[in-house]
Amino acid sequence: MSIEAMNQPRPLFRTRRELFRDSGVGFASIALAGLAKGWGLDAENPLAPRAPHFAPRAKRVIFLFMHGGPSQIDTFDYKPLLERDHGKPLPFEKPRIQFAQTGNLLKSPWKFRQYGESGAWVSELFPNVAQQVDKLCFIKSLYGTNEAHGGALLALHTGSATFVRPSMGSWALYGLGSENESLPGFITLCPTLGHGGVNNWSSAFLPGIYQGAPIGNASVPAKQAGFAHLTSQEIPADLQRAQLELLREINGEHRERRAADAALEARIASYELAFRMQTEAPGVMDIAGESPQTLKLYGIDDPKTENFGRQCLLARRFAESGVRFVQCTHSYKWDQHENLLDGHSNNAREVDKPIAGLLHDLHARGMLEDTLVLWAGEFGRTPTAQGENGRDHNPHGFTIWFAGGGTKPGFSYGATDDYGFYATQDRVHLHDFHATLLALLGLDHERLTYRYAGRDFRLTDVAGRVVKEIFA
Amino acid sequence: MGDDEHYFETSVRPLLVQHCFGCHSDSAPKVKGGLKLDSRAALQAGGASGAVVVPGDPAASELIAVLRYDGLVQMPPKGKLAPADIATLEEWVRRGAYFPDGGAAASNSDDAVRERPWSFEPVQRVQAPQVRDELWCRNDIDRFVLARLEAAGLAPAPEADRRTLLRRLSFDLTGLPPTVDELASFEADLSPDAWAKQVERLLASPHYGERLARYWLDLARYSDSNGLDENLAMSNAHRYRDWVVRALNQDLAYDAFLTWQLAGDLLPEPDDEAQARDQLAATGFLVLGPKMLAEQDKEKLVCDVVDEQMDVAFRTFQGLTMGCARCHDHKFDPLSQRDYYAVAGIFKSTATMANLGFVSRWNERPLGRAAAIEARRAHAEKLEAAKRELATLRERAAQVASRSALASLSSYMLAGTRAGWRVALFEAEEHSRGNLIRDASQYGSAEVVVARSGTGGVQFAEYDLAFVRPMRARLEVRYAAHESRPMVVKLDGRVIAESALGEVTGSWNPDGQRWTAVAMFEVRAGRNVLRLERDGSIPHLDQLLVVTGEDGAEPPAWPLVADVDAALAPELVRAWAAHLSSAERRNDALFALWSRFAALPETEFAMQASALAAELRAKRDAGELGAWNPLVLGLLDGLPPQSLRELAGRYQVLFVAADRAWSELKARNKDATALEDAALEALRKVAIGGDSPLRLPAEQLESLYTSEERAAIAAKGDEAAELERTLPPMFESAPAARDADKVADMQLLRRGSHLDPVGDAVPRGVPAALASASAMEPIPAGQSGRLQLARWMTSAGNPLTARVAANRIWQVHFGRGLVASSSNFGMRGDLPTHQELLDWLASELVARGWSQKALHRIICQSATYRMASDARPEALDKDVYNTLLSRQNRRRLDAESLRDALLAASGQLERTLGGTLLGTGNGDYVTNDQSANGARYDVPRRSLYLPIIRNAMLDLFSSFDYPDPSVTVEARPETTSPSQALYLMNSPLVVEASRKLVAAAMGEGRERVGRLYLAALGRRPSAAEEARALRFIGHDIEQRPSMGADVGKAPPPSDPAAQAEAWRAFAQVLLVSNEFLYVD
Repeated sequence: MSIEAMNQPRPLFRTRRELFRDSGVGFASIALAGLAKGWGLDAENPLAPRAPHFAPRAKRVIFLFMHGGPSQIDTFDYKPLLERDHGKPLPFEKPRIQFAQTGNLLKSPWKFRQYGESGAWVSELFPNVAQQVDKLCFIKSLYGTNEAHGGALLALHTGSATFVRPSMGSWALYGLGSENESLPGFITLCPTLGHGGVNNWSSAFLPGIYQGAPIGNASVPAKQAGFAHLTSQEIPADLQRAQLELLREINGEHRERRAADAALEARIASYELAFRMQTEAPGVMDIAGESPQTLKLYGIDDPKTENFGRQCLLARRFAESGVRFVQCTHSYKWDQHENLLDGHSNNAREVDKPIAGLLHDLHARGMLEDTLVLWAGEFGRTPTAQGENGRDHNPHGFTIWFAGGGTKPGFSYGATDDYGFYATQDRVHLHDFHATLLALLGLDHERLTYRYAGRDFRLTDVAGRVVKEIFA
Repeated sequence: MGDDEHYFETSVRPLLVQHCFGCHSDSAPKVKGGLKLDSRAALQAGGASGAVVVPGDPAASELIAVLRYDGLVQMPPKGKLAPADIATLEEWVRRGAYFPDGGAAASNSDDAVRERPWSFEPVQRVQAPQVRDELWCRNDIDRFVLARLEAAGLAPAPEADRRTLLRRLSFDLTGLPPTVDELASFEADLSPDAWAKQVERLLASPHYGERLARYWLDLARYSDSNGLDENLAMSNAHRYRDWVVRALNQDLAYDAFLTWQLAGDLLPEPDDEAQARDQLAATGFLVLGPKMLAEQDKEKLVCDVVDEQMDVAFRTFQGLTMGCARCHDHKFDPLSQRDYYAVAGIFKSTATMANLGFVSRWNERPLGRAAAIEARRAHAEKLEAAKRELATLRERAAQVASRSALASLSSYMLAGTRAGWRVALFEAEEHSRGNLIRDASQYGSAEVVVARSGTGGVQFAEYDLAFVRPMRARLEVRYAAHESRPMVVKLDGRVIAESALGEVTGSWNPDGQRWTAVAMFEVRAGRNVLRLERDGSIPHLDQLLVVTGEDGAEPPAWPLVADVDAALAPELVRAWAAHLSSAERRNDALFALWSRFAALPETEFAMQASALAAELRAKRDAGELGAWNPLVLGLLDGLPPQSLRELAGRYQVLFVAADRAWSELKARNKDATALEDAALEALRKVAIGGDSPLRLPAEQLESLYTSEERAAIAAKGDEAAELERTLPPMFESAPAARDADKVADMQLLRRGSHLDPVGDAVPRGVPAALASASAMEPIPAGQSGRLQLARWMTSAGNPLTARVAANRIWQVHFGRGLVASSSNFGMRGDLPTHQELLDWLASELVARGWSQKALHRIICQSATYRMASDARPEALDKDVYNTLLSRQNRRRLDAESLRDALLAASGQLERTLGGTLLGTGNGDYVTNDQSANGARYDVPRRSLYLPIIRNAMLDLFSSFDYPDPSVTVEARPETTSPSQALYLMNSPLVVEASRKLVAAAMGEGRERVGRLYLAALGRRPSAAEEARALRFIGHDIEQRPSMGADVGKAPPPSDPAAQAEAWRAFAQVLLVSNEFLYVD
């Protein structure tokens, strides 16, 4: 459907006021009340913005997911001793369970240098992000438990490596509601279908309205990705408008023949919501109006960075429109069991500029204050070599970073051992990370619960410590 | 629950369970310091040093002091609690250290003291109550319902009209709308049993099983793929699904239905073949769960599988959330951690997994009677033995042949050398251009080169061929392939073979390499570019040979030259030609000498040979030929060779000597791996080693077999062929359980961690709180106990099984169970709205031989079921959620019924039963970023049969509240969302259905509108509706500038395309209207 068709003068539902008058109640409340039927949430609007537990630092999250497991020791966790002891055996024990066998220490093929006022070390893999390093807040001591992709992805996204649980985006939306009635509150751009696939953005036992709305998937270029069934290629816009008008009449008569029923009202209203989504989503997704400078800033002018750059730019646009949680996925590329040099070089090249562009842009627009940017893979990699030029999975100590959203800029928390294998100082478990993420959004991870099958579930299971040390 | 109790249960008990009970409770393996903290009495009694808690005074309570690590005693010893946790316990003491009565039950299996849910009490069948309006009642159900309504001052809703009733009944029992004829015939049937006839008709429909199976599959978290980390296809899972459909259609008694799923494999084998298969397939219930197949901590994997299994089994059959007791005593129900491990031992003694490899595999079993399976297995074993013997015979013959070929080695060298004049050899990785890489590490030794691409997409290699004049040529390639990956071969851009090298050779490794002739083609003088390519992975290429003819003639067959000894095997000549050609290019240490002499013109050989020999001797003596094999250099001594044949003879002497030395060495030391003399060892390798050109796969040496060998091989081949021919067909296989080789009780695992077992093993059994009413039979030695568990569940004393089952059947007809939380009958579940009715239904189910159809029949014939669904104001006032059932519940079609109804209304529905649409091989990856999902959804089969892929749900399903197929689901939620509206507005499914609906509705104008209403909604339109429809269609055409040639100008109404589109648009509106989507 084209924008032009949308802007035709004849309104779909006559006027909003008329509609309110017809149903006698505020439209949105009826519509949304019906959405949750079946969960005992009928009384409230499950997507309405909700007050957080305490003052939030961030209002929304942009999660840049590096699928496959980028190496901490080749990116942000500089280990001089690794270089010195290259080729020697690891001087302490390897973990009980390993995904694959690894050999001796392997130094990073990339040079590290300090940047910015914070003097953070960044390898030459991320020259552009390095220029933004004073905005970043590193956690260099994250650890999980699962050494395989599937479990680790689920643990990162849902807090459980074993069972199907709601994803963090769903929890955020459940806790805070949406600030936009015409767009989903949780959007995942080009998500991966492997390693748990939809479970990584599903709402599991939370009501389905909290699940992530995928735009395309990892095997579709971002340029071609869109919401499912947003429009029909077969039905011209004006015909669809006529259909909706007729449908409203028919459903209205159907409702009138029956006693009051919120579900029937909600169904009628859901078409209005859908229509608004049709109106709004293409506009947000259409980046034609962005300036050439902006496109260049995100690397959309370069085929190498175009795909991730587009995701980052869309993330900013969705964030601007009030979407609560946006995830961008740089799909299953970082898994360099072999070919580390070429693989990581190529991967970093694809995301470095777009990420730096996003950080710069958010900052310039004043959005970084209340937008939390998160960069993470499902685990890091071993400082010991797999084969001659590869590294194995390492969930025992790896680096992620935040930017904005009330985190300390130019700050680094926690550390791994001399070689970057295990988190040793100020260790941060994935549960702690989730507790912290929720706390930044103003949510108490112990109070954000949902009762299912007789138990009150939370994102952090029965654990989690808020890492307040990283709060600005 | 009081505040104190709530605080205790939600905040305090979890801390005590987690941090204290390991050493200070009845369930502790050893109670430390004589102190127990698991009951009010224990708390008051204190430990060796007296009471540790002074209610109301945390400062005086030793418990708090030790938690704070204030003194010498510091608890827990492993580490101080988080400040918030200590604060919680302080607060608890300050509030008076409330401990509920029967607190001890939380930590041991003494069920007498913990609060029991209502559902643990025996089923009580009571007389249906007296009601004032007895006339309204059709059976006892109505008396139970009406009594409550009358007490609340509510009247039941009137009976719904016939159209509504039949539509409701059809969707409830078959998931399909009634046809126009069915509606007409019911509306015309004035006999008193008209309704009963409809109930019977639908209960007897094969679609009944399909419909009810769908609910069951929700509970059984049925899927066609594993999901989670490794989303492998479970291509045989559908056999479980199809069994559920069959069992329900046959009305298999519920107790048997339950028992087969838990322990069908442990029941005595029935005489009936079909039943034997079904009993095994039913155990798929245990195996279908999602599993972390790549979890490398395999003990954890096993424990997680057990947990998933018993959680699903207990929720489904008992309405209990056993999974909660994995890490600590159940917080609300009288289920202890000990109970958990008693049951878990039963499941751990069950082999759910076939192996625990890197990516583990679930267990599957052939379906059939054990004797027949055994007979087939024995037969197959014989066949395998015959094949092995055949291979041995071949191998032996080949060894003899290759040894005898050693005796003709000089002839092969000569033939190979002369053939070399007609061939050009390329190592596959030595391409002129291409993106293949050399890989000597993964698939073979460093000597053998395998070429493959390092990237995805089109993979190719190009070889430049130079010819002095046009010729006919043949391309031969040596490659290995474990799966078919046919390549396209091009010469100068022209395809000369569409699909070459597609044959599977047995493995990816060097031992799987085979020569094959690929194509015949013309080359021109000068450069020719030969290109092999494939979009995707390629076979492992080793070498290419281009064989040319002469003067435009066809390239001859091997051995290429006419005058060689006829006894030579063509395959060996080719192997030698390739080997020598390759050796020459490598300036091989063994054959460098040979190459020099072979280069001499044949006619002047003798003359030039002596000069060459002298020259080489001189170089040798000057130490310039250090890289050459010293034994071969020895051939220069003595008289120079008079012919190339003579030199070949000398080579042969060396090779034979190496072979003899090897035989002698092996006789002395059978573990020897190499000759000590490096020069001799190099010769041995070529004579008889693994890379010897004389060592070809046995079947390629057949021309050298003796007649006796041939006869023996032929006889064995016939035997194998006969066995193959008479081999009974493979039994269908399905995910199924069996008892583990090792059955054992489990130890309790602290906090559920398999790394932290504590105490003695817990004897396998059932939860103690339920064991008093009905004990489990002893488990026979060597068995898991699943059968005893199933018998216990279906025994008369079990209070849960029949209640849970009856409640689920009720839920089918009212959208909500009498217990709304139909998989949780515990303390945290919902209480029954009509407990006496539920018990009546449960006992009725048992009394009627556990017949599910019988219970459906009773419910459907009640007046309660037949009420209208409209809420009257007084009912909304008094009972907004309709828990008293003063009306039916209006329900939205679920995802499957919606799609099925669209297909049915538009005449597309194909009603075949069973089978699979998965399209992915069993155990193959269904979907990830790299592979495509082969599942078919564009088939007008019932939605039940659409593949359920965990991790990649069909959008229809995910939009319309299909549950997550990884977890057991007790009821479908019913949401309304904009994504549903978008789906109904724009999805191809709906658009196509409306198109088909219009195509089937013939006629014009009012007549056609009437047909559309009948087909879509099962009724005729009113006059106003007709008029509106016609207005829409006309109006629509006028309003559609895009359809006209001239924008803004109305196209003629007769424009057939615009007409059709307008009708279609109208039909779509009917199909997505609330009248279609909701069942009153």
